[in-house]
Amino acid sequence: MSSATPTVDRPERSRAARGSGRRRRGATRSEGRLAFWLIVPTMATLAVIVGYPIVQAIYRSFFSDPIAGDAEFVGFENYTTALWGFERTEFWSAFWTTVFYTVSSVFLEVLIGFAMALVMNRAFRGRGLVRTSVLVPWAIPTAVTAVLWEWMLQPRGIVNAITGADIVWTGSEWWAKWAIVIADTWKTAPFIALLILAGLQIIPTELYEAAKVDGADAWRRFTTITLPLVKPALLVAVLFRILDVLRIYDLPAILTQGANDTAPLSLLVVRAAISNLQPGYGSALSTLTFLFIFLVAFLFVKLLGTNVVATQQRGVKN
Amino acid sequence: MRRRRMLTVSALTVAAALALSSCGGDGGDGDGAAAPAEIRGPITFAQGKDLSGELQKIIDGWNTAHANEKVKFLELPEAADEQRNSMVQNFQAKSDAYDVVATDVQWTAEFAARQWLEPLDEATFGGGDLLPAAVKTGKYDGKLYATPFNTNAAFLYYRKDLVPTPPATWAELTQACDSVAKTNKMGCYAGQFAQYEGLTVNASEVINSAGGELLKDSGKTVAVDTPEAREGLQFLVDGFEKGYIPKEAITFQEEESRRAFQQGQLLFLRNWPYVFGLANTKGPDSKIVGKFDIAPLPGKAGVGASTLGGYNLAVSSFSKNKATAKDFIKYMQSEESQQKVLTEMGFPPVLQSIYDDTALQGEFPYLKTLKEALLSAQARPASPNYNEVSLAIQTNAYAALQGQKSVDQAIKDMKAELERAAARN
Repeated sequence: MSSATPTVDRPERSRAARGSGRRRRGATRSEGRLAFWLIVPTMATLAVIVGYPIVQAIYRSFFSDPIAGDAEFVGFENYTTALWGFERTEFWSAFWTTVFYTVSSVFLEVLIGFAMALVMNRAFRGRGLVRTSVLVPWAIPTAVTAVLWEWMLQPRGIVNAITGADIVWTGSEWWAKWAIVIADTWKTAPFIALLILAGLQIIPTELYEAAKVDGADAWRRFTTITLPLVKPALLVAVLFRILDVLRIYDLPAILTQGANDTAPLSLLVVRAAISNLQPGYGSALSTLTFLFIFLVAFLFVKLLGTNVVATQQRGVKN
Repeated sequence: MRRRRMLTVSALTVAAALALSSCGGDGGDGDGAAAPAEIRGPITFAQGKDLSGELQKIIDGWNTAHANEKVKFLELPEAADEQRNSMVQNFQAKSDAYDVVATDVQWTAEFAARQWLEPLDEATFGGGDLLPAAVKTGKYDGKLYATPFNTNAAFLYYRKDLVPTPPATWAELTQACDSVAKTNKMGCYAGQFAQYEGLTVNASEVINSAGGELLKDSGKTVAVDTPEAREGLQFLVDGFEKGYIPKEAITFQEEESRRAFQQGQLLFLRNWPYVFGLANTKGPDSKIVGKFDIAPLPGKAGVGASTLGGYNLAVSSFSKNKATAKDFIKYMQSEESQQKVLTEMGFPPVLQSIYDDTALQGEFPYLKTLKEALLSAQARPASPNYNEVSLAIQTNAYAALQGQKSVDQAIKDMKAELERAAARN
């Protein structure tokens, strides 16, 4: 009975769609043109404010950084310096550190966020309050979060006091890296939880009831109903977070100042461009970071993007 | 049809963007020409946040006497890095927004090499009663570009109730560690060892205190690859290894180390004069009120060399009213103003005579020791790429303190990285 509902709706919906479509196609032309011209000023402004600095940065990265005098054209020298030249240890170390943050942070956030979303999806008294309070870590500015965690993770701080450990958190390589992952997960698991919650709420409860009637246990219901149907929302959340963590800057900058091998790529860029007054080298690093993030996003959408739509349709049919 | 329109619009947008960008590029060129040095008029004074609130009163003293050449105080952010960013942006735009700038002692070489500062007359601004080490920080390549406004040097704070005479050498310090600190079950010594500018200060201090050097010739020659430098760094590394520097000290900045000392966890502390007043304030924050005293830093064979802190005053090359700017700086260095710098603002002044004033010595008990420390102080290495230099020193010293690199390897790597920074000059 529950599976019949979608098929009954479809012919009616499509007839209505076909009818208004003919009308809409006629109106679309002039509406579309108006919309186009309304967007043009914004696009022009964006081209100047966003496009020009990007192009300028890429252009500047092909020049040197002298102390006094004019910058000379040096071709790809800034890039080779970073990739296999004098700064290669620093660059690749920052590269793998960024990858480590991304993988561990996103993995933990999805795990914890999913659990939080499942809890928030159930109806219980005070659900509204829980949903709001879960957002609190996300609402706190990252800089404040970093200072908070720096305090808590001091050798004589509260984390060591409660767990009874004697770890010098920001003083050793792996503890410092995990400190950043913990702080980042604490801050953004709520964000993922909310995105997944939105996806969960779309799933009709009749599917669960039907499954229960058919004798499926909780785990079976989770893997065959919840997971496939929440996949689009989940993949969007994961993509957002991956791109975000690849750009991470403020947490390591404030928590550890990039010491102990915790410096991500963005920190290298800021250090070169602003601290060391080397705009050419900084622009090269910035372009490399951009290319890396673009590649990751491209692969992600390529490998998982087309599957998203197909999975949804398959899920609904079942 | 639609396609052609879209192409037209895109082409127009790109053209507009290029046109606008070309006019945004060299906007400051008109202001770049140097104004003749005799012009007078109102000027601006850019300095970091004035925590005492008293600087404006000193400036008002000038303003009442010079109605046509008023000084406007532009307050920059509190953090040194932010101040530097503001000044760098101002100079890169060749703007005349800042006439007189208060620069950290380590920024002189950086700004002077890029021709952002006006050279100053050495007779007026480099001699007289000014502290010699402080004057040196304003020089680059033989010329004077900045002159001292306030200064700073570090002390050894020690628990006089446990150690009646302060150690004069490192050997005496470690002796006190083995005997007194051990029996009282407390950490022995701490400075600032987190990986930040404070570590550059501490590392440069121990290397200088052992007779070593880091850079020479305004940052062009690297002189760190010596046995003395190794001995200096070894002092700190031994401290961590043998346990008389507590292992949590690897995360210490000024405040953390001060707190540890005030809670009675340390026998000796290396820190700036500001701790003196705070540690003597009765309350839950300090368990050592009246139980501590100060002494000059110990060195390998005798008195150690503290690092010089402080701020200098300089005139921007792009300033329009340079004559006024220079006279204003002279006023800020006058005895009257410098006395106010000490009594109202709480900073160490740059005139030697003020330290010998007995009345002030009574009010500020650390004045005599501070003068001793200032006379034997050495600045951190000067270089137009100071940030790169500082990073090279910090990262290698930090790795050595953590035991990740041997002292020998750390000094060798420091040398290589410093040479790279020097080559860019």
